[in-house]
Amino acid sequence: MMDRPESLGQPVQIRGLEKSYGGTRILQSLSLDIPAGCFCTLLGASGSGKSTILKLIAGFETPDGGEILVQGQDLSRVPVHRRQIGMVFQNYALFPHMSVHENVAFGLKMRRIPRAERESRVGEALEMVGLKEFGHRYPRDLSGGQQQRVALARALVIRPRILLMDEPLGALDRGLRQGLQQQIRDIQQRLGMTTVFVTHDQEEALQMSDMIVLMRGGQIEQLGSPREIYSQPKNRFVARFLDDCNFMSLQNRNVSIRPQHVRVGSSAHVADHVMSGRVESMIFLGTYRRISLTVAGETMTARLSSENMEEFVVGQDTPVGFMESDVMPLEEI
Amino acid sequence: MKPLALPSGSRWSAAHLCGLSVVLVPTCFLAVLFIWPVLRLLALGFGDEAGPFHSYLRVFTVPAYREAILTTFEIAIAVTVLSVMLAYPVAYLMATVSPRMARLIGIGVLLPFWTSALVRTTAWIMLLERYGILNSVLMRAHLIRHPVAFVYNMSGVLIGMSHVLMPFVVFPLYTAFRGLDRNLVQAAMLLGAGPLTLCRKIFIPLTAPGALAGANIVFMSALGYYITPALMGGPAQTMVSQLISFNVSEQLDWGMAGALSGVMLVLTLAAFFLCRGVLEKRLKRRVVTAARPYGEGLSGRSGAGWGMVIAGCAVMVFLLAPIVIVFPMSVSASPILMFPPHGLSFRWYHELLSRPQWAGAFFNSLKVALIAVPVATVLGTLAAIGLARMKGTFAQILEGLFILPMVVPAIILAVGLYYQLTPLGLTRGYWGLGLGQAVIAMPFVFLTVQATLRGFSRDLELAAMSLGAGWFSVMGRIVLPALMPAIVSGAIFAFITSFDDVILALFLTDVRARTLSRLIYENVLQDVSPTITAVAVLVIVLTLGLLLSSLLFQREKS
Repeated sequence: MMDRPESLGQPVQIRGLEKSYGGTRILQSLSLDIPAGCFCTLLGASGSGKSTILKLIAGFETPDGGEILVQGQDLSRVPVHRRQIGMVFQNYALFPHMSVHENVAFGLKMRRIPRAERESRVGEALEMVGLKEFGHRYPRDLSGGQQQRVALARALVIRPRILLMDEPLGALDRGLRQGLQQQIRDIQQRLGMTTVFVTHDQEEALQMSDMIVLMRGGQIEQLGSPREIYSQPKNRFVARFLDDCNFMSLQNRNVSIRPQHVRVGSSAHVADHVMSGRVESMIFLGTYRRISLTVAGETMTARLSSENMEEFVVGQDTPVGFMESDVMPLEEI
Repeated sequence: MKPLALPSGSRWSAAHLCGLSVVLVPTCFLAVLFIWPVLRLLALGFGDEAGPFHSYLRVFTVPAYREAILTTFEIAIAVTVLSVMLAYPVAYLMATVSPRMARLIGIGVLLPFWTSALVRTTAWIMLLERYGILNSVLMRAHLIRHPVAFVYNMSGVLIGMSHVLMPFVVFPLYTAFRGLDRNLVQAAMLLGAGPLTLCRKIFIPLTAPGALAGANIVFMSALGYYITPALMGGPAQTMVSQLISFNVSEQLDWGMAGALSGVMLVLTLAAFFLCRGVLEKRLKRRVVTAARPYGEGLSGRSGAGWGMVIAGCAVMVFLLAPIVIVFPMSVSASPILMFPPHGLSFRWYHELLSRPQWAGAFFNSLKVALIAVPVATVLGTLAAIGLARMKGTFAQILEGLFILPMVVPAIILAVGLYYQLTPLGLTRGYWGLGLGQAVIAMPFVFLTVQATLRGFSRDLELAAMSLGAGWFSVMGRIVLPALMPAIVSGAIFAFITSFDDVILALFLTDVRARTLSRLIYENVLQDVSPTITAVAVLVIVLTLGLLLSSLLFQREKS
């Protein structure tokens, strides 16, 4: 990772956090340590409680129990407007009656930062997100991606202790998302900003994070680096949430294997585990072919890279195999 | 594990309490100056010495009262049907022309909508009376030999009321037409639907919610009408409102006034809740936003389409004629209103300025508005902001209360307030009238601000707080500025409501403080003189100026 000369980020510790709404438990005794400067992604389906954690850290909601510490300081007695936490909202929440410049300057005005310093900090922040020339424009004159960057600049200009982002790219189209993901990640690393990022998009989580926290039903299912969580899933839920996956029982072990590691046809002969299967369907998807097979009465999916030119026909019997090193053992089902 | 009590968090969980404290002032205001006087008036209906239901019994047994209730119903239904029929071609026209043209037609519909109803009624009388403009033109063209009685009868009432109320149908209907997907129409045509089937199976069912929403408003307003039937109808078109007024000011029979008010209130509220509750809920589900609005870039029209276009243009002429006509009439040199006007002179404007009662009445109107508009604006805004923070049945009841002054016929409020305020000496001078008008103007502010608040994301407040803004900064720098355009246009609505009001002005103030509208009304009741045309022109110019400035203000802000 990059060196961080003056790291802004502070560590966050969450201890036994509880939250219910009208009898429904949203969070159940949730604990989580986020190191300083870490890009931590809360990943999960809607209703998994990921956004609630964000609201509790920001102070928009009151927890029923537990505590949130930032740099060791308990936030419970700190009102929202004194928490010094930056937040980027899902729909940006830019003030429509203020120009881009005024939006970014708002937090500094609230802190009574002298005009000269304010101007220079707003200028820096806008330059950082590549919108230096847009200060006089109004939010409605900007594209979605530009609005998103203004929201980021507005959150960062107050030099927050942590940055919270609630599905900030959810409303943007695919092409724009990827550029912004890179930009957000660059800025975050440059500032060494502790970031809590909420998304339901596993690809986005894998691309951006230092640490992924996969959530289900108000609890943490598994956490770890993107590589860990992708290639060492604890159970079927985690394995399937991150990508397509085949599950099987292998020598009395419950294991999973990603479709791209399944070999079909002649390449299967040299695999550690070889079985016999029948081709059920084939779909061409550009960079790869997806082949559905029946192996020992179970359905199995394989992804064959387009470089593999071997021909298959539906109904054909073929060897199917995979390497032992690609097998992902599951701790539980 | 110790439970946490975030001071900031508790503020959000206590949003309901916070909202409650904000709506407290407008609620008390309406309780004292609206609910209480109306209830007292209704109580009077049960206060007859001959038994609690004596007055009600008379409402249904005395022929004159029974007649009036039936007539009121007839007129309200006829006006509603007419308004919907007239609104369809205009809405169709607006939906099928270019956006720029649609905006122009929209302004053409808004123009009469914003112009004082009293002035429009006056202009209609000028157009329709025995030796009026229409009769002169028709006789000159030898289409008729004797003047036709257009006014001071049923046709006069229907024309006048439909003209005033029709715009309420045009706009929801236009929205419904815009929501109609063109693909839907094309699909129906490909499946074999001819123009008639298309109309019956696609257009009417899909625009019905809009038509109904508008019709509901028209019907409710029509039930309580007072000024138009009084000025344009004959004795056979006496409506319940007129009888209430008659019982109070001529007969001094408060029991009868109370009973008639009770009957009218029940009818109006029944219409209100029936439509709002049952029909709208059922029809709302059908409202969708069209991917390709019907009529956008429509190429070619069928014969029926052209028929609708011609009908739409005719209705536009109907809408604009009375407003346009007063301009040439006001500069006629002749002391008798005739058409075409003879000679050009500004003598009526001179006369207007030389008679102090007109200028005096104008300033009285301004003074009353100076009370009504700020009170209505502040209270309506508070009501909307407070209510946005509340949930549940109680909030729904309060919402109903804030809209109610628009629903309850003005005559009931006027008479109720008259009874309430006279002992306090408030029916002389400006205060009683100003506060009464604030009651009827408040819903306009409430509704415009509420509409803007619905589009106002709560995240903006949260964002401001996370950036370090305390409660006052959030209100002053985020919420109020975002609401400003709505507050201003609500205030302009409130001003026009106040300026145009006759009914409250008839009861709640004396001759010395009488407003311009009341003076016009009293004059027109006698005769439509050329001086009135000059007043009408000035009022039209004033309201148009306000309309334009409000449009400009909104454009600048958005």
